[in-house]
Amino acid sequence: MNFARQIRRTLVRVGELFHRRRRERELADELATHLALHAAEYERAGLPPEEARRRAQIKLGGLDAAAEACRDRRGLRWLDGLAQDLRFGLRQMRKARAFSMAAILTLALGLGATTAVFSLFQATLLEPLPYPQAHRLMSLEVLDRRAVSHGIDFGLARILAKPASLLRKLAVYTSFPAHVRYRQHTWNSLVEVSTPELFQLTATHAARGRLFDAGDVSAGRPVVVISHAFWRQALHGDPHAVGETLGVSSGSFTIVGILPAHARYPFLAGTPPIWLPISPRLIAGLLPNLYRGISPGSAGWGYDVLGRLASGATRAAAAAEFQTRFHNWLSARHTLLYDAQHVRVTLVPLAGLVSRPYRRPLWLLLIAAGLLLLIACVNLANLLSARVGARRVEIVTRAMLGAGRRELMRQWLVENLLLALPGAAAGWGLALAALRLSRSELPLGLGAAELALKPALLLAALGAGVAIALLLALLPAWQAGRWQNHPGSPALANLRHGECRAPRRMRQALTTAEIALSFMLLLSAGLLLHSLLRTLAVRPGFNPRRLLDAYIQLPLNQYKTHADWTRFAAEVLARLQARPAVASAAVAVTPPMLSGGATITQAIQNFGAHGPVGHPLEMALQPVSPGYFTTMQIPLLSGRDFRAGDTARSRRVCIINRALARQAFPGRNPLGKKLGNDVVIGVVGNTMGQTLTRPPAPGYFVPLAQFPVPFLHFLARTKTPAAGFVPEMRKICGADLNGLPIVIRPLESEIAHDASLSAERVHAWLTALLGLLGLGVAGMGIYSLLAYGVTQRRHELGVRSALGATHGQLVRLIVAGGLKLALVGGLIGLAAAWAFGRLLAGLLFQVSPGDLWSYLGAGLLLTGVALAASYVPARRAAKLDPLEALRYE
Amino acid sequence: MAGKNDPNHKREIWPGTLVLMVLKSLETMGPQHGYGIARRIEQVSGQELLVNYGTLYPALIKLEQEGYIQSEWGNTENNRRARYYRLAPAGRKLLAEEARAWQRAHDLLARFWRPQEP
Repeated sequence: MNFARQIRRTLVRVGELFHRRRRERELADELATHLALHAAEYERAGLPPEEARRRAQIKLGGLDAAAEACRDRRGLRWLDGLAQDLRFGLRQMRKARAFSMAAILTLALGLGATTAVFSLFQATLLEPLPYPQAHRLMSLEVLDRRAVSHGIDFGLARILAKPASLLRKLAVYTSFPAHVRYRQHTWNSLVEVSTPELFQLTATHAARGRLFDAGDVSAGRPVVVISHAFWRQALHGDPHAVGETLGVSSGSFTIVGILPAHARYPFLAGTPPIWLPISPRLIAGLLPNLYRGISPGSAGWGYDVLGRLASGATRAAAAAEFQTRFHNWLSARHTLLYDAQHVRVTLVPLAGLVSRPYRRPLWLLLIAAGLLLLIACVNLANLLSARVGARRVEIVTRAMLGAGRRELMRQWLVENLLLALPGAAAGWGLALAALRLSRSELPLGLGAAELALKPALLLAALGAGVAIALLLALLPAWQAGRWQNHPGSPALANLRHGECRAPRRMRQALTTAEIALSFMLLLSAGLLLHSLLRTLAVRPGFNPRRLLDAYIQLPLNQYKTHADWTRFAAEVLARLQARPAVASAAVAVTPPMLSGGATITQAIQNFGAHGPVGHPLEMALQPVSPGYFTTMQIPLLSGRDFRAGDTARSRRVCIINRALARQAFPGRNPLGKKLGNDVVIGVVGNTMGQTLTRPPAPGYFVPLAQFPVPFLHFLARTKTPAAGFVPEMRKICGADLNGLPIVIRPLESEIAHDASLSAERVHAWLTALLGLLGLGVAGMGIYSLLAYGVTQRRHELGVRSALGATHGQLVRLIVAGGLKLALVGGLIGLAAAWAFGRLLAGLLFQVSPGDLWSYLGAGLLLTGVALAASYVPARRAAKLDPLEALRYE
Repeated sequence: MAGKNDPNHKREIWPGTLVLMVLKSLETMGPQHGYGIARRIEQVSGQELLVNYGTLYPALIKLEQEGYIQSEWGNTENNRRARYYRLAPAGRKLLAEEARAWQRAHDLLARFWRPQEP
């Protein structure tokens, strides 16, 4: 058929939506004329008028049917049908308020959770870096033999950061914690030092003022750029901040600019940082020879090199260039730090590096949210199936009156959409609320700051709601077809009695599926929570009770020499130990949990007669004062502690922990043996690493007197609760410091609020929340199934009651039905969860995927909910008045 | 249907051909009301075909919506108000095309009905 004509016809039909009354009158006139003219002809043939009219009517057929056929051609009939269905649907919604609420709520939960989790997923894993062409930003990594990332030395970083053919621009940056002063206030902040290229690589421009450039670096100007968050939080958005002076550690810097809010370096969330330009002079002043003992002449480890890969270049090709450069550098010097044969330089996409720690937990959360959505859908199908059962008389009547499968589907589709659209809207609301909460409350790591619902995601949620509505509309149409074809039930009377077996069995299957899915979710949540508990219960290897930490950075203009630093430490320590409230006190540089992730790594190569033996040993170097192990209550396993006699001039000694003893001296007594230049004089127990979930690192302790450092942690074990001693501790430590800032923290609360656990905690609780929501929805499924069953079986229950069944027997009958479902669902869920648990294994700490407690907990919770959900309908069944129930029929 | 095999029963119109008959009737008779068109088709078919208004009027509506015919209200000889349909230029063209197509189809089929040459 001619396409243009079709369009014309459609347009005409749209126009015909108006002036309907006139058109209806004309149609009636036209048909009446036709009939009259026909009758007139019969009259002319000699029939009496009455008979003529009758004959004409018989010949032409029903007037109404003809008018209806014409109306079908006019206007848009489906639109009228839609309006009718809408009115009917709204009436149905009002009639079944409980059902409507349950359906909308279920859908809102499923869609809301999925939307919120997906936007988290998107912000963190899909678009973790808010910079143009962020996928081309590459981090240069020096990997050792075990593919573990090696630190990059400043000298090496400068060599690597020279422009290459495939990475034309590179930047070097690192960070360290320091005290920051602005006017009268001080904070402990993260200080980033970077080359100006970092801003160019990420195409970042200052929101206020300017960013530092190559000129600042070469002139050695003391300038600082602050992050937007730092400006807002620490400086309270001071409009005159640019041009003011900011004190960093012992130096003073001029604030030249503020970064835009979206710019995050070093690409991770955390303390809002400030940036200083890397210049040798600056580093010499701020990062004093902390690392002198390890790598003479270098400014230490821990530098990152970042570059932008040229378009079309492959990572491997670019890495090869740096590999050559690295080997040239290595052969020109003698360092034991890199094992030349095995070290490789690789390019790792920054986005992946940044989001790596969140990848598995977020995938898990996404799967969990998907499962919740699935449970919600199954529950909807379940609810709807009950609804179809309750309205079967209406459905069959419609079908008998000529409604086709399409009409039935359309009507139910409209009704489902009336539930799905508010459901999707409520889901949006839930997702928005959840994201607002997570922005302000949850330290979810990166991406949390930019969390926002993307319009595309909202549309996707809406689309999912509509798709679900569409899919579920198939159910009644299919059911109606079955009822019609049911051999025994063409009569409505039959339908009214009891229900057909098929839909009941289907609903049982659906409920079982819900239970199985929510059991899976619950179990994963249980495993994660148990893992979290295990982590929190980890014995850190020392006793944090009543232990206070005071952190001091010595001002280098005042304390110039190693002797100054050593003297300061000894004096403060003596004053602390003199207090009656202090049981013992000591000094450390990188105590576990307290150094903010800073460690001093040392590598030692053992040499035999024929050159190096084995691979270099890497260990965490920890300068400590005598009494450190007593104060921390770390057990001394053999040998002796450091004593006042171990000074810079005496023999160099060290104490190692058990992990290092096992690595360096397997099966031998380490006491008296040499490790590097130091003689081992003692072995102590392991302590946890910088975070609780890390295995104990090989630990290497040296006397502070032989390894002086100007960053000191004073540790005091108090006899009374530690909080009461804080003011005194501040006074003692700060007596000589002219008001220099001191950070004092009780270790107990540090461990409880270990930042490294916050992400794990959030993931575990979120999964638990999703699991509980799933369980709630499944409980609703059990309840609705049984409640509907009780209504359906009213007659049977009445008969049982009349025949002498006691309340208890009736309650048991119904509850047993519910428990049977829970048992079957639970068993299926068990099998699925067992498989799913394997996926979780990598996220668990000291908990196996087959953890008995988690299985027990999930099982008990499920049984409890099943019992509660069956008990309410069961009580209703028991309370049925037999006479009433029998009369109902 | 009771009368399907009854030789005296009037045939229903084949789908698709009604449109042609309507257009042809309008071309021959000029503007005509629905009843007139129905009578004309029945007469031309020698009372073989039965035109029900349940099929005729929907077809007229569709033709008008597609722009092949136009309509206006007028009066019959007996002074009854009736809607008169007349052929639009597009309808005339369609009729010519369809007539040619049918003629060709008829000729083609006719060749098959002819006894085959041995």
